[in-house]
Amino acid sequence: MSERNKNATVQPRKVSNAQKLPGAESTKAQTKKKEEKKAMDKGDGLDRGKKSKPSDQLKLTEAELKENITKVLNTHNPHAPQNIVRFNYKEGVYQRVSVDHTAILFEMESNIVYQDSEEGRRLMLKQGLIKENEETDTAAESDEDRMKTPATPVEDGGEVEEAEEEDRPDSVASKADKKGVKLGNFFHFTDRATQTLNNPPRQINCQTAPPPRSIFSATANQWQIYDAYCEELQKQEKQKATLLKKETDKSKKGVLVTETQSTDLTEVAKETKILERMVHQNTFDEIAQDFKYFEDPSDKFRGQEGTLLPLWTFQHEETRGLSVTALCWNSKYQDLFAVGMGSYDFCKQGRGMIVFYSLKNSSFPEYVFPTTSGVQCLDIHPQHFYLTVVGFYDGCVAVYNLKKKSLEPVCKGTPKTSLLTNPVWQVRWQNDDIDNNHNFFSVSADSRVVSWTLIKHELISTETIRLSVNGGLSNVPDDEQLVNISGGTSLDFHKQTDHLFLVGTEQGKIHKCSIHYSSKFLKTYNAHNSAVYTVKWNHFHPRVFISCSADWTVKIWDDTIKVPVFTFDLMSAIGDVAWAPYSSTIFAAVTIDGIVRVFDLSINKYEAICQQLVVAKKKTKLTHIEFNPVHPVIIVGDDQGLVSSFKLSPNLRKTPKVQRGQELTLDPEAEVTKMEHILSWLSDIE
Amino acid sequence: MVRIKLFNRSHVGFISVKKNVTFVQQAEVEDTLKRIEAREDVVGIIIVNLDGVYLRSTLDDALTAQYTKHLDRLTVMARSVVRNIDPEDDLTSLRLRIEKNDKHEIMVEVQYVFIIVRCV
Repeated sequence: MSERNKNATVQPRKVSNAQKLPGAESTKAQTKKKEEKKAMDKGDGLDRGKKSKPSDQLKLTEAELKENITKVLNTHNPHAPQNIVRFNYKEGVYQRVSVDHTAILFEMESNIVYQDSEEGRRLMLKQGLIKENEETDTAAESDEDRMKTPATPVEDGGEVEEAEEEDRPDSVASKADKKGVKLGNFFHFTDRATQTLNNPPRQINCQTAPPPRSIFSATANQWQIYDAYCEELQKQEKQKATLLKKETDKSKKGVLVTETQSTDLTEVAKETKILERMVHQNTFDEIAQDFKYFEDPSDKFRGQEGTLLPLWTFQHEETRGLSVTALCWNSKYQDLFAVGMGSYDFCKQGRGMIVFYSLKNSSFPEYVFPTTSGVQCLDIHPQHFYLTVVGFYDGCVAVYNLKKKSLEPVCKGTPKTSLLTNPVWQVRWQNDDIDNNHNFFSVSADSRVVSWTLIKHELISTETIRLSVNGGLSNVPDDEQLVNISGGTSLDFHKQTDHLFLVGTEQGKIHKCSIHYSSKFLKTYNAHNSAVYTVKWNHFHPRVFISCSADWTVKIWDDTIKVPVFTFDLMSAIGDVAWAPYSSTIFAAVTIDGIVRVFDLSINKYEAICQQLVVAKKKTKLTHIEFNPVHPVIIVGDDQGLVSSFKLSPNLRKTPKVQRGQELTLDPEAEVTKMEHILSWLSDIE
Repeated sequence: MVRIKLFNRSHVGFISVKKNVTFVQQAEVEDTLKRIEAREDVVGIIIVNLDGVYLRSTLDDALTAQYTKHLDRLTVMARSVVRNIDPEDDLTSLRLRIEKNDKHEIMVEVQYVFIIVRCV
């Protein structure tokens, strides 16, 4: 403060000097400057020459400078906040919280009580009787230091006092009162020590037998979890069943368990079959690959002709001597086909066989049914694929059920009246009748078309139509009637119209008939000069059918026209003819010279687009041909009992393409139009 | 073992009839097995039941034991894979091809653990 005053007073003077005579600086001023320097030279490392006055220094007047300002020291904690508020939930208002301004510098907990406090005084009173007399000397402290000894000292307290008196002579000296007693808080703290007798420790051990342990490990997989749940479900279902059932089950299980322990191979049947096929596939691996994937690339260079790629051959040793008399594919399992074995030779009539083969196993048939008489014809039910109807040489018909394990037919039907053996030439399934009974039709050499119905394992026959030369039943006496009868040799139902069917006769005529009209034919065609072997409707076109006969010709008809639309003379006796299921214009014919001919009317109307010799031995005659409904495969049966399968090359499978890049699906309408086109072309010519 | 029991549970009450059928079936199965064996490609057939005990074998004991042991483990693993992907599915058959030296193929049918050793 005084310094400030000094500086304050000096400065104006300096200024005035400067104003007057900057050059004429008196020595006084200089000495004064030096004094100032000294005064100011306290750690101020700035320029010494001039007195620097910061620009923002407060400028005060002389009167203000002389003012005495008092400064007060107080115990106010400058760091303590003054305006803390806390929300009081009880009252719902903010309330000021006062902060303590005291700062504790040292704290020590002990059992010593401050003498001057109330508690100290109380304790002092208790002890004060003993030491009342002793007074303190000149003490800077007040009377409170005086001891007040109680009359009846507490024993412990006395002990403590004495001990402390002895212990601390030094400390007593430092204090004003020589016999300072330290008071202990006897409620909270008591030092008391005793030592009990230590018993020697003893150990008692006990060991039990270890529990039996086993190591358990398991894995938790998706399927194990699933299995666990399934088991739970089964348990629950069992609990729902009655107790009685449970008991009977248990007793029977006991009987059966012993059986299973023997080498029972019946469970293995299915696996054996699959294995056989697997092995077979390995052996005939190339053929299997060809069947599935091979497309003859040379067809591009061959123009319009195609070839037949030989695949598997099917032969069973028990069929030696028998010829293939019927072939039929199964509609559901397209690799399964049925072969009827018999004989066409009138003299060599004997046993027959029905053999089912699968393309997956060519070395051994799936099912074999031996028959007493030769099989002439065969048909597999299109919906109930396990039912097969068979017509025999001796005039019987039988229905076999593949689901049943027996080798006997489900039922057998014999012709009613005739005693002569009239072979059944053709059988065909029809749709189930109103009562859901299966029924089929047969045509036989005794010139009857018979409808059979399967009612509860019995076949009931009803005659549908009698074939006679004059066309229908006529009122002619019996013996004449015999002459007029002509045996039927083939039968085919229309694909779309159920009741229409065609019958081919031994005379060479084809009759178009209907189930509903039993006495009359709808139409008759003078088809051939000798027996008609096969008559088949086109799969797509509703009016077209094909026929082949013993006069070495194949004829294609439009059923509205009495004259054949196409005639093919094959130079050799024909065994069978079949339409392709994927095209309305493709058909194949087999002849006894061992050649398979495939025709496509949309490509070539006069010649076969494929003629191929398919048998090894020259003398084998081909008897039947069938197209597989799905795969481009044909099976051909011959008179040695061998069935060969062939794959059709791409040229033989041409179907009209609707658009480029679109999938080639069977388009029935396209097929129909294709045929129409051909027919109309023909009519144009005519 | 569990499978065998289930199979026979369905035959409860009709023991007599089924016996005839089983004999016929057994004959068929025997025939089929003979046919498979007769093929020139097939080296041997081993029929093993679910416990791992082999019932029939056309190979010698040591070889059979070896095959059985290893293939059993392989089928268990394979089945685990198939069922882990879809628990309702189950493994039906396995085919193994050994390419080097003598080309062998082993076909395993898992329902009754079948093994056929075949030489390519």
